[in-house]
Amino acid sequence: MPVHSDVSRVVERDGHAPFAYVAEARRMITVGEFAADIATCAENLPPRRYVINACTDRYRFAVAFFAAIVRRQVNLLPARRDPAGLQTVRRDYGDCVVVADTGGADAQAAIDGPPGSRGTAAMPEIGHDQLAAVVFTSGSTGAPQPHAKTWGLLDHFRKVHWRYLQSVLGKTPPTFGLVATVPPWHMYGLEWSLLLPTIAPAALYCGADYLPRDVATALDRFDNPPVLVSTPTHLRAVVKSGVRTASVAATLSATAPLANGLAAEVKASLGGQLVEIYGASEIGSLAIRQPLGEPPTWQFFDCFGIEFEAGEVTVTTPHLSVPVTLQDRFEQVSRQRFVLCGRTADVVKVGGKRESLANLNAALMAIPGVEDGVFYDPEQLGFASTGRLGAIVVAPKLKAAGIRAALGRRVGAAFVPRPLRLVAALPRGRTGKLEQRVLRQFLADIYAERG
Amino acid sequence: MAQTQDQSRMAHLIVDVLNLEDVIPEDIDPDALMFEEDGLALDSIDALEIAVAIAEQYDVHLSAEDEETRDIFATLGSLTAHIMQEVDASP
Repeated sequence: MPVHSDVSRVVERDGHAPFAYVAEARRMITVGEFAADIATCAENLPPRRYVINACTDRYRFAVAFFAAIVRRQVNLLPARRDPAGLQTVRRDYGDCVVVADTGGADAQAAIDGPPGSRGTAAMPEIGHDQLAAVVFTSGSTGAPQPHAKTWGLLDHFRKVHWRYLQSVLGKTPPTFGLVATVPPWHMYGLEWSLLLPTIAPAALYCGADYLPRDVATALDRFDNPPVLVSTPTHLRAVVKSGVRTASVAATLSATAPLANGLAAEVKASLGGQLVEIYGASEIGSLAIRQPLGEPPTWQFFDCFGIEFEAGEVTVTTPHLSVPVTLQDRFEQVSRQRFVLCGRTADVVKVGGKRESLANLNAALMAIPGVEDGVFYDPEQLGFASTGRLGAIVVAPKLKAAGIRAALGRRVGAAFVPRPLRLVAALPRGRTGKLEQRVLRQFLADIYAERG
Repeated sequence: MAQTQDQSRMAHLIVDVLNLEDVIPEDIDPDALMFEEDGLALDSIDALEIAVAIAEQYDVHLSAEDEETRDIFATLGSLTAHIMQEVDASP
C-alpha cells in the first residue's frame, strides 16, 4: 500500500473550532460546518478542469476555493473581476465553470441558502502534488501572467507564515478574529486571510470590510484582540476618517511601503503589533519586518534561497522552477536581513499591482487622438503621494474623461491617472528625451499656476 | 437634471478629493452612474477616498453592511441622499 505522507488537510484544526464569523448569518461557523459547505459545493460542481472563482463574498469565495481543490479541479483567480476580465480567462482556459456568490445563467452558486446550514463534515486531505490554483498578475508585457500554485506550495507557505506570526502573537495565542480589507484573489489576501485560518486559531471575518466604519465594526465583533490584514491605503483611510476601533493584537500591512508617519499613527490608533510584509505576486509573501521595532530591517522568510547582488535580489525556492529576480532595490544588512531602497526606476506600483511606466506610456500613446503623453509617479518625482499615478497628455481633439475611459479598458482601473492633465506640448529635450528633472519642474509650474 | 445645493457641495468634494481636473462639478449629472465608463469612470480606491473625505467634512461614516456600497456610491444623487439622511439622523 502506498504511504501518503505528502498530504495535508484543507483545514488543520479541530472540527468544533470557529473558522469564520459570517456577518449575514450573525454567527460563528465552525470548521466542521465549513467542511460540510465545501463538500456540498464540491458535489455540485460540474466536471470541468477549471473553476473561475468570481465570488466576492469572502465566505463563499473560501467555500468555492476549497471545493474546487477537493474535486481536483483548478481555481483560476483573475485579478480583473469585471465581465470582460472573466471572459478573457474563460476564453483562454476553455474547460471552465464560473462560480459566483449567487448563481445565474452563466455562473454556478457557491452555496444555495445560508452559510453553515448543512450540518458538519470532516476536512478532506489533499495531495501536495495537486495543482490548486492559478493566480494572475499583470505581467511586464501588460497581459496577465498566470502563476500556478500546487497544494503543497500553499500548505508549505501557510505553515511558514503562521510560524512567523507566532513570533509576534506568541506561540499559543487565544482564538483571534481575522479582519481583511484585501480581496482573497490576490496572493496577499489569499495567504493571510484565506489560508491563515486553515492552520492558525483564527476566525475569519466575512462581511463588509472595505470602508473604515465597516473595518471598525468588524474589529469590534471579537472578544479577543483581532488581527487586521490591510494595506497602507486602507490604514490611512481608517486613521484619517477618525473611526473608533477596538485595539488589535496585530496589524499587517502589505502591497506598498508603509511610511513611518503612518506606521506611528496606525500604532497609536489601533494599538498592538505592527507587521509589514514584503511580497512579489509571482511568489507570494517573501519577507517581514516590524517597522516600529528594533531593528526595523526586513527579514526574508528562511524557506527561500536569497542571493544579493549589486542591489538586486534573486529568490530561489524548491517550489519554483526558475529563480525570480525581484523588481526592487535592496541593501543587504546581514545574511537574511535587508533595507528596501525603493523600486527599480521604471516599475510603478498602484493598489498592489505592478506595471512598468513604459507599458503604461505605450498604452496611452496607442489611443487614437493622443499625440504625445507620459505617465508619472508623483512620489518618485518628489511630490506628495496621492496613491495614484498622474499623466500629462497632448491630445487637442480629445477630452480627459474619454482618455481615462480608454485607459481603463487598456490598463485596468488602478492605473488610470489622477490627475490627467491635457497640455499643449511635453517639455522634451532635443533628442526627444523627457528628463525627470525637467518633468518635475514642468509639473511644479503647472500646479503653482493652478494654485 | 439640475443639482440641488447639497448635491453641488458633494460634487465639489468629489472633484477636489479625486483630482478630477477635467470635470466641472456643476456638470455632474446627479443621475449618471459615477463608476461607469460613460460617467466619471471611478473605481473602488476612489470610493475609499470619497468615504474618508465625507467622514472629515460631514462626520458621517459610511457603511456597506446593510446596503451594497455600489448602491450608495452609484450616483451623485444617491450618495448625497444617503449622507443627508445620516446627517439628519445624527443628534
